[in-house]
Amino acid sequence: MTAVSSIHDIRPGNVVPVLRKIVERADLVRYAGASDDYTYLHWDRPRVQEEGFPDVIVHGWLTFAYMCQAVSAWIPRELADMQTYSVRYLRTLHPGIIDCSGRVLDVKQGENGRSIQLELWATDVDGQVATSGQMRLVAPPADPAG
Amino acid sequence: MDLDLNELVERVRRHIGRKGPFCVKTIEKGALLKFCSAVGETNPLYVDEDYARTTVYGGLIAPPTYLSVFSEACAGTLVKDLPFTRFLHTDDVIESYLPIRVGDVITAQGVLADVFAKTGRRGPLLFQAVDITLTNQRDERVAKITVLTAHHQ
Repeated sequence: MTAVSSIHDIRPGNVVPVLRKIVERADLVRYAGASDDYTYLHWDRPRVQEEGFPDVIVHGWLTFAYMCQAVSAWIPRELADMQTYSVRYLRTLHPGIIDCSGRVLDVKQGENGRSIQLELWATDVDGQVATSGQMRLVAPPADPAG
Repeated sequence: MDLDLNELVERVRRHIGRKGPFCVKTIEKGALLKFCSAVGETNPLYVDEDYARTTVYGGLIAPPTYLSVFSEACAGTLVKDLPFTRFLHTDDVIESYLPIRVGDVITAQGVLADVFAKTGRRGPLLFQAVDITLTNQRDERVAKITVLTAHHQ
């Protein structure tokens, strides 16, 4: 894909290449089973529609998984590991298009390696940000022998 | 409305520090692969044992949000006697200290870390932050998850 080959290629302002997911209701049932999360909001369409939602709600953790994939497809975990990562769910997402992307805010070289701070977002079919996030990646110091 | 939000916050805040049950799970390769398939994860670090062995991780590791399998069991049950029936899941924060590996026996426990209130568009919201600490079979801290939920009428 679009993975970088060196951590030194990452600079502030770089944009995380968009990862597009087209989510179907079946994907939510699959995720419910794989994650042991059987909250009705994610599969019981008549009940969530009674509550005023247009359709079942995408698990927040599933969106979070997609956002992490967008990063690791670009900066492989073999180069830098995810140390702190967080999301804020701003609006519900429903089956359909979810685009995950982000931006490099800061790159710092320290004794314990190179730290990369990212902001992340997932947008819905209308391009509205539904989930925002933050992530800090850390690449170990280069092997002095290498 | 007869709900005194300040009184409620004060009452629930008395539970800060309350701990939930221990949740123990053995990390199984099949469960990891099923999770990867469900999230469309094809990274060989998570699904190809031969490849994973050649990397700095030395073997298959769990994808970054796999630890969500502990969140429902650990975060859901700490304070039960709320006057609210609905809640929204608003934030998840993960601090990862060590990779989670196939064969690890992970013990997770939630603790009520914070309680506060805000008034939103649809009325009062009571926020609860639960910190879930995960340790492995060698008693090493593997990760901390903070789950924030907003409870409302």
